[in-house]
Amino acid sequence: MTTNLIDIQNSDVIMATSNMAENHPVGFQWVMKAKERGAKVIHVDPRFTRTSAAADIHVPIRSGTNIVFFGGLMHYAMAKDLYFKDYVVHYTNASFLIDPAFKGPADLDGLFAGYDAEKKSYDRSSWKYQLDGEGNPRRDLTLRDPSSVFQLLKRHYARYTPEAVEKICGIPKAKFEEVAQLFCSTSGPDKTGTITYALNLTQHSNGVENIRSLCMLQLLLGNIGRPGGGVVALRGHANVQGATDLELLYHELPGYMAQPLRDAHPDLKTYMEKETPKGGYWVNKPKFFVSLLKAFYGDGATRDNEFGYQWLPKRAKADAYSHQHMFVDMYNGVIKGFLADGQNPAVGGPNAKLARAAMQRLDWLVVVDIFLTETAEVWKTPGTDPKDVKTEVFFIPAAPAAEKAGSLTNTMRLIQWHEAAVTPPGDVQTDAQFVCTLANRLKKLYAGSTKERDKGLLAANFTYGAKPDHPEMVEVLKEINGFATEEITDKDGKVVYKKGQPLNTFAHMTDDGKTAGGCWIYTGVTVEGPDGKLVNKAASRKPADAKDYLGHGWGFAWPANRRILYNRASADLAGKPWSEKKKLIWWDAAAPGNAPDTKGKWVGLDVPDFNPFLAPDAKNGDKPFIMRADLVGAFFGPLNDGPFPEHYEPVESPVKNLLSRQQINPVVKIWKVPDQRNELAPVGSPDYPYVITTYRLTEHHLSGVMSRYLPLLAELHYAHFTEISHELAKELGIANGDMVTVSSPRGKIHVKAMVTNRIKPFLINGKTVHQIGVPWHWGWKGVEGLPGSKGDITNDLSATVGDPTVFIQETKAFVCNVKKGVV
Amino acid sequence: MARTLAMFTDTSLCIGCRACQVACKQWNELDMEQPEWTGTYQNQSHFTDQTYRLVRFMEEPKPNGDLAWLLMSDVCKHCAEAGCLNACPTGAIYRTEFGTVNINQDTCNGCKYCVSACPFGVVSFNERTGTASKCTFCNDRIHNGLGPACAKACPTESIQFGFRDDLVAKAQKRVQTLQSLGFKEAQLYGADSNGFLGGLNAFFLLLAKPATYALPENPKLPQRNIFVDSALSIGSALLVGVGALLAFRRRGGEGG
Amino acid sequence: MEGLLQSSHWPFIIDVYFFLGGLAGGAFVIATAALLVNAVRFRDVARIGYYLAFVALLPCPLILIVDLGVPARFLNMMMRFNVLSPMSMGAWALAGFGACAFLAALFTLLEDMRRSGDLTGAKRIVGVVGGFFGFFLAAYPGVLLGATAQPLWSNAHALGALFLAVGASTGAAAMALLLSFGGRRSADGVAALRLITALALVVQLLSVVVFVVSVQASGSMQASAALALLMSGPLSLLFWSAIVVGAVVPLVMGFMSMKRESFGLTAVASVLVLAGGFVVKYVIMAAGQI
Repeated sequence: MTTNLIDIQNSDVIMATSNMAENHPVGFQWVMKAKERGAKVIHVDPRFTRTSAAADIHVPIRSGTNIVFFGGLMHYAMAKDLYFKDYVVHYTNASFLIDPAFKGPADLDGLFAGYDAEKKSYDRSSWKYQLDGEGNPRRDLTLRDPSSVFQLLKRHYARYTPEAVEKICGIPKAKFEEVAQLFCSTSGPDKTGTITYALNLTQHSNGVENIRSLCMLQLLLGNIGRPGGGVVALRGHANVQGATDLELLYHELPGYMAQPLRDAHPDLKTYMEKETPKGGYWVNKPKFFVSLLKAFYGDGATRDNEFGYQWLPKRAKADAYSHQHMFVDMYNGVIKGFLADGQNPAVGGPNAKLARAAMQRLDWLVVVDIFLTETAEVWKTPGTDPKDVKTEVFFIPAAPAAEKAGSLTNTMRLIQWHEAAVTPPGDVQTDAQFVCTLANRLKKLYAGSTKERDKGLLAANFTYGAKPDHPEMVEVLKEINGFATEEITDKDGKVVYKKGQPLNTFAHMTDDGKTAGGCWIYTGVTVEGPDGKLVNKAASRKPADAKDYLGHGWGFAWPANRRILYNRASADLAGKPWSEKKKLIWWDAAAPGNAPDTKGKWVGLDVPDFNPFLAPDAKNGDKPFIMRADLVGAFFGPLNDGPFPEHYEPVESPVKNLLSRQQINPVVKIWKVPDQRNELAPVGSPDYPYVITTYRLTEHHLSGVMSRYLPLLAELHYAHFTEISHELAKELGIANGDMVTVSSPRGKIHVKAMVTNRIKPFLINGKTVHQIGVPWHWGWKGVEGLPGSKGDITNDLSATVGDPTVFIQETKAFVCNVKKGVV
Repeated sequence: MARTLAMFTDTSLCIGCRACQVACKQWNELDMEQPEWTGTYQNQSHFTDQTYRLVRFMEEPKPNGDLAWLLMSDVCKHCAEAGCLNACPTGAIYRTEFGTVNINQDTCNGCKYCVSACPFGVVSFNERTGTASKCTFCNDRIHNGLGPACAKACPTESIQFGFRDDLVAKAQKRVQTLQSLGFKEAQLYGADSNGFLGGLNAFFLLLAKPATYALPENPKLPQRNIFVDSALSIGSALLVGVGALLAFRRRGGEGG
Repeated sequence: MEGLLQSSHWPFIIDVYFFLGGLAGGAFVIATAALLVNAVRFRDVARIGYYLAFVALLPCPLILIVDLGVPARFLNMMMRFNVLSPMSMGAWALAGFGACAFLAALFTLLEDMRRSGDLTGAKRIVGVVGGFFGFFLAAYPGVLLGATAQPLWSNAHALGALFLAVGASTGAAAMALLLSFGGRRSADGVAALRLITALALVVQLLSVVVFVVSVQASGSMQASAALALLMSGPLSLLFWSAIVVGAVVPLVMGFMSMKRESFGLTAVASVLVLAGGFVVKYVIMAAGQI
């Protein structure tokens, strides 16, 4: 997220699109604080939830139509001239001119220029800026040029009228206009608004574009980088941010650098050339990348062996290794072994029935978890004869957070340290113990190998501290932070870093092998104090106070303990705060500069996310978005499915796309799986007439591993249930508390019906469309003696389809049928 | 007596997360229960011997027709004039030096009279121990300088703990703020020590009429009836007693 | 919205206790009245009254102890004297009455076995003291119910009077029934008891009227709803039977047999009064706890 949770208290309008009160109750305190101050809270959600209960306005929206809603808001802001003009002109690419060959869905009936129907992909050659003679983008600061991003944007969203919003999203026009007016009131110097989102926007066949659309709205209203503004990305659990930063992902290495491709990146030099942009802070990528290789391979990484680059695993294809790819490959017999470390895909992933069948075809399966999960017992799934499953399953009991030391990086990029409260019982291991022990044992097995491919493993260090089987977690953090691999001196020969001393900032990283760092953005989290001892800033606990409302003394927020990203945007072109009320950092012309005879520095309430000595009137001194090559916020931002978010219906929908003939995302990924394992319902299928969305509840966690086994949590909900409207219940003769059968082309589940006013049917283009909601926390395991802790697996209903950019599943909007009773 | 302690539950800040309910059970070592189907997220319809904090969920239309989902974390009110305490025949229910009301499990005799005498349905009977039980205001915690577990766990400061006079002043200010923000029905429940039951030491800020939360509008001390009821009983006793004397006199009062 | 009140859900044996305690108290008071007016002529009346009071009382502490589960817990009641708690006062009344009823029965027995001289004086003292306790024992459950938060009970104001009257009517009716078997020897006593029964029934009916009117007048929806259970709901058959068959009919029969004495009629009327008295207490307990 671009901001942090504490700062939400400064918002004037908070638009929650996720169910924040239920899924992020601790962070939600800041929404309540803002509300106490008089801020307005809008909640956009198909269901009326506990977040709606705390909101001033609840906006029910049909699942899968978010882009129409955000596009409608952008249209409203532009049509009514409510956008923040100075911000948009100078801090975004609105003024940039686009290649005249570029055409968008307004002209091409739902497609962007360059579509190849056969390959189902775009040739993006026209999706680019016009460049002047020096290679700089051409701009029109009046925003009037028809080729300007602004005019293209305006034209693109001209179709997203309040009437279209009403017809497609099912939001009454009057309500939409009320919300549009309220949220657009945050435009300008004196006010700011924030938008929160979570998996409500990501788990769609256009998940990335969903997020982009709200970012664009925030740029349009000038809400990024300013107090009370920002995009609040709420992560799914305590350390998803950390897992993303350290890249437990197939396509990136720690610190958001691409995992090399086999063919495109044959050597380090080519990788650097292709992956290092010409402008923006990423020009430093080679320093971060070489430091990462040094952290991986230590002394084994030298200039002569490309710092071990060739030891890195390479991707054969850009996209083939996502979660969904893996399970299809498992089912098809391509993947034969699987280590599920703290994950329960038998319940938690899309098309869970397929996932279980896939795991039953493995040769071996290792499950590391805190309870015997459904995944660990996939060989005795109800309805399966264990004799038919050949998979050899190993279970490794794992230690939960309270039994181990380490850090968690939460949703606001805040790295927080925790000590072990108790020692794990019996054979239970911490994650670090498991990983290091496994690696060291593998190293022993490969010890004598002279094969080139084994050298990387042998070079890698997995020993932290004196005891190899009890890793010292602070040492792990120090490696992530980065340190000098040899003594580093300045030009006068003065020692800047002793060998092994942790780095104070990633600005000190070099591409010559003198520094190592496991994740460059984390640098600064552990430093050496004046007494020579290690200072773990993640463990610091100075709460926020009146002097430092952002609480810089509490933990450490990457990068460089900045709490609000792009905060240069909180000041105007001249470096003055846009308004006194919304000041954050500003240019102090009188402050001493970085050299004895210079003056001027960025100062204020946060660590500047900017060169602190770059004057506003210097070259690029007015461009806040330093991580982008062009240094400005992007309205025009090419993704696999287009440079502007365009609405398409979910892969399964009861209605036709009213905006174009493109029913679904033209580049969406739909897997073909044998044995009718991934059947899809056609548009408007009478067999599956209702929209279904899946979601979580406060009382449970994810697939239930951390809640269904705990009596005091598991008792909080009577049993697995679906929420349905009184209207649908009446049509189907269902009473509150009846058992019902919910089915999709993939499977069916039996749950209790909770008939409620909190779900209402939508009027979509004059026709009633019913939507239901089903939480997905249940599985066949739980607390003995508490029948309600066990239940059917909701993800048996969802499909194996994915967003074209990141392949996330579409579990927030698909179709189903509901029948009374267990049928 | 020490300064009176109180809990102020501000329902306008409650997000229904039930952290209070779980924290209460965990701290007080209360057992898992079979949940009751209430048709909504609430898992028990009323307090039980194992549920001292109960978050209640009420779907109510707002005056403008929009839906309101009123969320309230309910608890023993620790009444200044406590029906349960008065009713207790053994003195097991007592008032602490902090003004809270507690049940001494060693001297409770299990007569269940307090269960009927509580105007809020708080006191519950534990069939296993054969004694009455309810919220202790985390008696062990407050005697060790800590606030109740529920208040500690609340993420939105909907449950606040402190000295009663401080909290009442804070609560009054909060009502004014809410009213100025358009919550016309925002009101305090039980904050007034001159009001019903001498004021509640666990008092509430409500966003609608108490009845909407199934709270009695004007709860009365059960023992208020004793005087009149006793007088009428004495009256009928005299009537029947004198009548009996007269009846025997009429049928043979003379001689022997 | 439904209230959250919880009820004690006292078991059926508590209804039995309330009935027996009331009957014992009523019988004891009436026996004492007889003793005070004419110890010789109403010797049988007093005898039967004291024996009956003692016998009816015997199960009472047992019932309470069974209900409390742990016998020793009954003693907790004796650690405190709480005038605001009818439960506490009732416990003390039960103890006091128990002592008096025991002594009265003992004195009567000693006389009957001719182990002693005339103990009328002692019995009168025990009788007067025990009489207060007896009526207290009969009335206190009604006051106790009134001092709860249960809408039906706390909005009614005559439950103490009603319970006392039921104690007197059932006590008198039971004594009349027992004496009837003694034939003409006790005719005067039986006649007086019929009169007392009639008087108690009148008080009982008046109390019911006050009960109904006060609940209606309270304006409490929940109380009215509970009352409707009695007047027209699932408990109405029992309630109206208790009123009509258990009070009005025996009242009429009582007046009839005053003109023409009939032991059969007295016996039937007495049984109806006993049943009616039990049922009226039972339905009020039941309706208040739903």
